[in-house]
Amino acid sequence: MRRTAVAAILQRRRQRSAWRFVALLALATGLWLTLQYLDVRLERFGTLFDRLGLLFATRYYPPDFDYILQPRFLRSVLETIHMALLATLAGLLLAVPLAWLAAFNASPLPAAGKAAARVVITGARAIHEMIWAIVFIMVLGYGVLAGVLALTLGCLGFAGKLFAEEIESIDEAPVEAMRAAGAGPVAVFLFGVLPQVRTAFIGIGIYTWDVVFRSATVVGFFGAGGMGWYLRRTADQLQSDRVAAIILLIAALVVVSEVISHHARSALEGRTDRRLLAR
Amino acid sequence: MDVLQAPDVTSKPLPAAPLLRVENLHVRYPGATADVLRGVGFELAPREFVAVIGASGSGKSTLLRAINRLVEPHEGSVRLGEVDVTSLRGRDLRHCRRRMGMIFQEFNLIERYRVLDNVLLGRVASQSALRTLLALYPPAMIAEAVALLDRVGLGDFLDQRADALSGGQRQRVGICRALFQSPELLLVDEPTSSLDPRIANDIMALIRDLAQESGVAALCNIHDVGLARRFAARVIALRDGVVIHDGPFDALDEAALGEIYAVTDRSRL
Repeated sequence: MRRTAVAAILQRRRQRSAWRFVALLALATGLWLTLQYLDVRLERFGTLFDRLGLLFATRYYPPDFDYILQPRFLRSVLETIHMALLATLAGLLLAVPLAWLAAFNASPLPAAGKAAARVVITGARAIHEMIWAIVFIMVLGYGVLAGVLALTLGCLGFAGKLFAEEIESIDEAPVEAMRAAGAGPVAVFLFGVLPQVRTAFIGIGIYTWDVVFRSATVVGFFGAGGMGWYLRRTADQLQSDRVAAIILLIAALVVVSEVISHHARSALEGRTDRRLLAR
Repeated sequence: MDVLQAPDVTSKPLPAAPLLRVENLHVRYPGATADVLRGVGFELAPREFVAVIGASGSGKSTLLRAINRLVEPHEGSVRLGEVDVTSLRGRDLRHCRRRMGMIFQEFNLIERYRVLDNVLLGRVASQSALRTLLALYPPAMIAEAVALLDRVGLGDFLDQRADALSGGQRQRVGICRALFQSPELLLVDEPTSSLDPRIANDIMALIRDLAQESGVAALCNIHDVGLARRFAARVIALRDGVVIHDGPFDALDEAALGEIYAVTDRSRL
C-alpha cells in the first residue's frame, strides 16, 4: 500500500485557507468603508425606536378606520386586486415563451431570438415598476391601464428570468429522446422541457403573484390606478391617521395573499412529495 | 462482617450482547394506506456482516433508514448497544447517528467538494460548524483521512472534485466518509446497484474487508443474490415488509429464493 505525503497536502490546504481569510478580510474592509462613506452613525439606532414610538403614539394612532371603510375607498381596493390579477396573468403568459426563447439550452432560435428575448426580460427588470408606471402615465395618461402595463412588465421581468433559469437546469435526456423521435422544436418544448419545469413554474407563478400584488398597492401613488392614490393624497395632506389605516390595510391584504399562496404552494409540494415517496 | 463485597462481574463470561436489536418495526409513509415494514425484528452481533436481500419494494432501504431514523418508524423499537434509538430526540439522536455510518446507492457525495473534504465531512458532527466551514481540520485528522483514502486506492485523487470521479471511485469516497465517522455499525444501502458488475464485486470486497479491519458490523442491502452469497455468511430476506428468512445463505434453496423474489404484483416490476 502506498502512502501519500501529507505535508504537501497540508501546505496546499493552508494556502487555500489563507486566501479565504484574505477574502473575508477584504469583505469586512469593504463594509467598513461603505459605512464610513455614508457616514452611518450606529449610535443613532439607539434613539431610533424612541422617536419612532413617539411619532406613532402622537400622530399615527389611532388609525382612521372609518376612512378605509368608505365604499369609494373599498372600490379602489377591489380595483387593485383586479389590476394585480390581470397583470400577473398577462405577465406569466408572456414570460413562458420569452423564457423558452431566452434559455441557452432549449432556445428554438439560439441566435437572434435568444438575444431579443434576453433584451426584453432584462429591460423589463432593469427599470422598476414604479418608473414604468410614471413612463406609461406620461404616454397614456392617468388610470388603470398604465398601472396594469407597468405591473405586467414587472411580472414579466421577474418571472421570465426565473423561468429561463429553471429551463436552463433541466435534464437533457428527455429532450434528446424527443429529438431522436423526430419531434420539432414546439413538440420538444411541450413534451421534453415543460413536464420537467411545470411544478417549478407554478411555484414561481404563485411567488410572482405575491410580488405583483405588493407593487399594485403602491403604483397608484403616481396615479396609475388602485388604492395607492389615496395613500398619496392622505400623505400629502398630512392626514397621518388615515395613512396609518391604509398602511395597516395594505399589510393585512399582503398577509392574506401570502397565506393563500403558502397554502397553494404546500398543496402543490404535498402532491410531489407523495409521488417521490411512492417510488 | 464483610457484607460490602462487590459482585465480581468481570470474571464471568458475559453473553455476547447484540450490537443492534430491532423489534417489531413498523413503518408507514405519510399518505400511504399500508405499512412498508410490518413487524421486522432481528439482532446483529458486533463485527457481524449481514446481507439483506429482497425484491425492489420489499422495504430494504426503508429498514436501513428506520434504524438511523432518517425515516420515522411508527411502532417497534431499535436499540444500538444500550441506547433505545427510537426514543431519542435532537442532540441525543445526532450523537447516536454518529455511531452508524451510512453508505448510499447513489453515493450522496457533496459533488463540488474535493475528495478529501468529502471524507473529512464524516466527522462534521464532532467539529465546530465554523471550523468545518473554514475547512480548518487538525493536521492529525487530515493525515488520518489521507491514510484511509490511500487504503482504498484513491491517494492520487485527494484534491479532485468528487464530480470528476468515476462511479466506483465515488463509492470508495462514500465508504471512506462512512468509516471516517469511526462507527460501530455500517448501514449500506445497495452500494453496487449504480456500478457495473466487475466493479461491484471489488466494492463489496472492499466494504467487507474494511469492516473486518476496523471491527465494524455491517447491515448491507443487496438485491444481487450472487453478491450476497459471496460476501455474507448470514442473510436476512425481506418480502413485502416481513422477514421471511434469517440465517446462513446455504439454507436457502431455489424454491426459497423463488419465494423471496416472487412478484406478487407484476405492475410493480
